[in-house]
Amino acid sequence: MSAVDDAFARVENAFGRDFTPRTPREAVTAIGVTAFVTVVLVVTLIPIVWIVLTSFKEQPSVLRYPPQFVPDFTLGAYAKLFGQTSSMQYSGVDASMAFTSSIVVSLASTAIALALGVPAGYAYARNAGKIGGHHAAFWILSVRMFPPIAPILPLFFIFQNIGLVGTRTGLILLYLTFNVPLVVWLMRSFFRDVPKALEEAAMMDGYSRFQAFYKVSLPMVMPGLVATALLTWIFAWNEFQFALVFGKDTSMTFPVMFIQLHSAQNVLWNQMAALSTLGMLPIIVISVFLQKRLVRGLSLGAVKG
Amino acid sequence: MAKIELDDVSKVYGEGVQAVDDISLTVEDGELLVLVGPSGSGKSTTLRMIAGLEDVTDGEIRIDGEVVNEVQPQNRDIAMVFQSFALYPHRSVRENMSFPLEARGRVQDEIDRTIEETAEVLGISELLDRKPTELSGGQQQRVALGRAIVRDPRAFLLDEPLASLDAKLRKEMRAEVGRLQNDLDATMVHVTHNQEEAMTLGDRIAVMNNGEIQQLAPPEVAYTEPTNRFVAGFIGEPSMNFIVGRIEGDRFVSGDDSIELTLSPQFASADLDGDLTLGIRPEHVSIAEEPGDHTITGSAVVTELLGDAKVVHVDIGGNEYMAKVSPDYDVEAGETVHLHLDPAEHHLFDGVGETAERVTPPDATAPEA
Repeated sequence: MSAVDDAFARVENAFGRDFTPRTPREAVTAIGVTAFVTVVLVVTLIPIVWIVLTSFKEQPSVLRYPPQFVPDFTLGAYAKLFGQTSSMQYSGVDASMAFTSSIVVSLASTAIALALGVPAGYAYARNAGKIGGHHAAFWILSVRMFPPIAPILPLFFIFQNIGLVGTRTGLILLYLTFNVPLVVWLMRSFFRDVPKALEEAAMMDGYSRFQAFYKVSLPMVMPGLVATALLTWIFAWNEFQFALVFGKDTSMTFPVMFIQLHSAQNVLWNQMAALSTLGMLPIIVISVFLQKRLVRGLSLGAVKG
Repeated sequence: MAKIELDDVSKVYGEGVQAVDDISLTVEDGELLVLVGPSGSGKSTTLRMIAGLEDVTDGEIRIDGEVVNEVQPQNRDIAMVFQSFALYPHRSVRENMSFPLEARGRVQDEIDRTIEETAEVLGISELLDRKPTELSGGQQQRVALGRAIVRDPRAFLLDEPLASLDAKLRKEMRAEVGRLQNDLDATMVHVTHNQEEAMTLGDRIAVMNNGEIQQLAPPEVAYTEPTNRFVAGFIGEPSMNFIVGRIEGDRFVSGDDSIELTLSPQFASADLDGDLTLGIRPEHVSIAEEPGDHTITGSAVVTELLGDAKVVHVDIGGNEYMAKVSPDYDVEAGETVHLHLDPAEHHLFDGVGETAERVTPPDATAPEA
């Protein structure tokens, strides 16, 4: 069975019906739907394909007109990013340092956001009254409601005074302000869908309050937790605004590197494309890898199981 | 198995809601006690306090003589079956049943053996490797029972375990619960709002209303000698007919004078005045050809065929009364009907509200009542 047939079979299986058209009307519908999906896919995927192709070109062929569709298949852009032949205009930071920063900052902020947000979400789902009630929960969410640019200036002065500007710790803290509320709210709704009786059953079965949470509720929200972790991580991985202002030298994350590839003299399109490709890669790989759990997590609570 | 004692137990929720009001009861070792009452009567709260899932506001709960008020649920060694079954959806039937055994640190061999045995008893051996969501309601119920039985607890608490099953299955599982309780000689507290379930299952039943125990007695006593008007109306299906009125000589006259009948002679020497309630069960009301001393007359409203019997609703002075008669009795709506109220089955309550207490016939028992 070809991959396409296989994909079709899976879609039909998921919808619980056979999509082979049987009447002219169904055939017209099938053609219409296919055409629409094709257009959407082309519109969304062409830029990505173009970026990937560009990353394998030399700088001169990037600017060629009419455009060159088949790249030179050189790794020069990647090599330059990683500083082998340095053309960095501003600082000595190369891609390996930037990606290290990105990995450290995004993973650490995700881990801490989960460590703080999962128990908080659980608490708000189970006993909101004891921790400020639903108003407090809403207040936590309100942190995400103002434009991120608004607190940048005051935060910058505060961070400068306590020496956190230009450090990875500073960025991790900043991302927590946005990620903790997200985790709290998502996990709160996931935990709400776990019936309280299940935890009570666990306690009657001989487990402590904490064990009931750990052994029963937590495994049940795992798909949701994975989805939440991924959303949190993607936010931290792609974040630009805070990283631009607060990240310097060792704490510069990869999105900020784009600035370096763009000067008054020239725009290094091929290196930008290479950096984009590298930045997209982990997200795509992880998403594909977690696809099944992710979809289940994102739809958790939407459909009663 | 263990004996459970509740001593003046009360539960008040934060907002000052009195859910359970000063109740005392003892569940003997090996007894099946049913807590029955309408929703909000405090029966589930009482059960949850025994389980340790709710704090006790006042009073004392003892299991085998040991006060357990401050003992965490996991340390009480009591099993509970929930209305929703509360099976762990991410675990197979086998894993559901092994969960309480793992908590007790049993060795794997013993766990496997115990589960196989219990599954055998409940007829769920085939289902051990399935997930709960793949089971029917009745099968889930059996697994929930299995998870409770498997660890041989000191007592079982069942919180409306049959309420979410359909009628046929409910009867089946009711019999099953009764059989298990018998076989295991288990101390069991069963909560239900279904009086029929309470009557068939309980060694004794505690009828609850407004957080108080109205009557704690064997089912047949609750049926024949309901302690107050609430119990009289709650136990029995269709429920008891009530006529509010007063005694005039040897006659009972309803408040609006629409009904007048000769009161059972057993109440003749009772010295009662003020408003009273006369109660009689539909099964003790029959159709009379002619009006007489013990009959009341009205017009038929509707009949309900129950299969083995028919319930006739009769309107007298704007109130409806029911008679449970033979299924072949036929009557048109609007037709005049004479109802004969068996004088030996009269119940008399001193007052008109739910708490109106039963008047014990003076010549039937000791004079002090």
